[in-house]
Amino acid sequence: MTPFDLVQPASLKEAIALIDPEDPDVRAIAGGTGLMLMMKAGVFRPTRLVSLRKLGDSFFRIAMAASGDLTIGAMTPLSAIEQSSEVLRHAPVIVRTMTRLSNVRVRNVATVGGALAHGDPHMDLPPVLIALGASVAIAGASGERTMAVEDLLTGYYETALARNELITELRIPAQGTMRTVYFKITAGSADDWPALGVAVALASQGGTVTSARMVVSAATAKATRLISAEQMLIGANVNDKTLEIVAEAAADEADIIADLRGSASYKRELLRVYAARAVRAAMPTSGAPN
Amino acid sequence: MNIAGEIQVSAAREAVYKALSDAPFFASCIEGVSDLKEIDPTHYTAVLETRIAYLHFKFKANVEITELSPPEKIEAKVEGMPLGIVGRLTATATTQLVESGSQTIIRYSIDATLTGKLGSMGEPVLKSKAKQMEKYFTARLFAAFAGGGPGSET
Repeated sequence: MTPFDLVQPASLKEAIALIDPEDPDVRAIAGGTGLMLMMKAGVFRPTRLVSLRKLGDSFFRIAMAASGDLTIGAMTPLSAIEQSSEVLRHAPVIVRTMTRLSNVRVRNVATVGGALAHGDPHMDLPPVLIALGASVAIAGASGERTMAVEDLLTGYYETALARNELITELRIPAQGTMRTVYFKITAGSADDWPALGVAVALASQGGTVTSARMVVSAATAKATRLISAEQMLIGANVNDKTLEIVAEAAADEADIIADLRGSASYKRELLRVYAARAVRAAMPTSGAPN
Repeated sequence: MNIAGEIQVSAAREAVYKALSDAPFFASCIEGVSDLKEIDPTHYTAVLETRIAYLHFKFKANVEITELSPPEKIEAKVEGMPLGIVGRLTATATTQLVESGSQTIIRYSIDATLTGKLGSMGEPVLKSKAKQMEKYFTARLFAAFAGGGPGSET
């Protein structure tokens, strides 16, 4: 490993100032669970890492507003989210997802902001957060902005963040009658990186879908909404025939990429099967918790 | 994994073939290629560097020209050893030149296999980079032919 500088700023402003916007080898590090893998693999060789460790306390919080909107500080470790009663009440799909997201040692250290900024398409949280309609607050040298998680992820390990912008907060809107499920399909152990991730959020009335969000991950370059499949679902009655058409649309629409966890044709078939299962599971009659 | 595409050039097929079969010119059209060395007229070594987001991939590549059928086909085998990451890239690249009036259509097809740790990361990288590299390749090729063809100044 080549030597690098490690700096530990005490404030957000200082952290942003220490990141050179022109240099891809200078990067912020939060929990480090993702970045360290890249460094070990030799594909990221930093000249300077800006540790956000000292900002941990200021950006570690989970709060639910009276409106039902949930706010999670970017430095909140995944295990704190997993154990939060607010998260369990407001978005139980996140808590269920955590149980198979890597292992407890990683979840104790990895932060939610880091998980989103890393841009790895194999991660479990981005598809779930997109299905929940979540957004992030971002701070940079030129001020603050907010962005939907869906727009944050722009490609394989690529995000819409400028190099010297940091995610400060995750915001999940009140879900109302929406029910969300996430299916993680692994080719190895249960907590392995997925070969495919599918998240579906549905609102329905009397068996008819009134609102739908469907997201595929791990098989694509980034967590991506399946818009055609969503449009076919809205207004439809969920039955075997509809599910077949929707699953077909999902498998056709996704731009699937092969990796070590499966060929493109295998992953496409997985998507066809699990898109239908996820929609069924997100319907109230399935008995699955919302 | 297969990456394929077409590039249309306003030049005669013979001229395009001549340009593409010239290894230094061909290498200059691929973004990130450096240190091209000729071992013999059908064997070359080169270094390929590419960046995606904050990730950096560097390969030492051995290139073997396996078929030269003027003026319509060039086939090459590439073996790449990534620097700093475990794995191997093997690829067969076929380029076919088709006449279309006064223009030439370059049809390329690359069958690539990535093994080792590179396999889990490399394919999406190649796929996302492919379009960008095609754009760069096309721009360089067009620039060369706009100037009367590569090497025309000599």
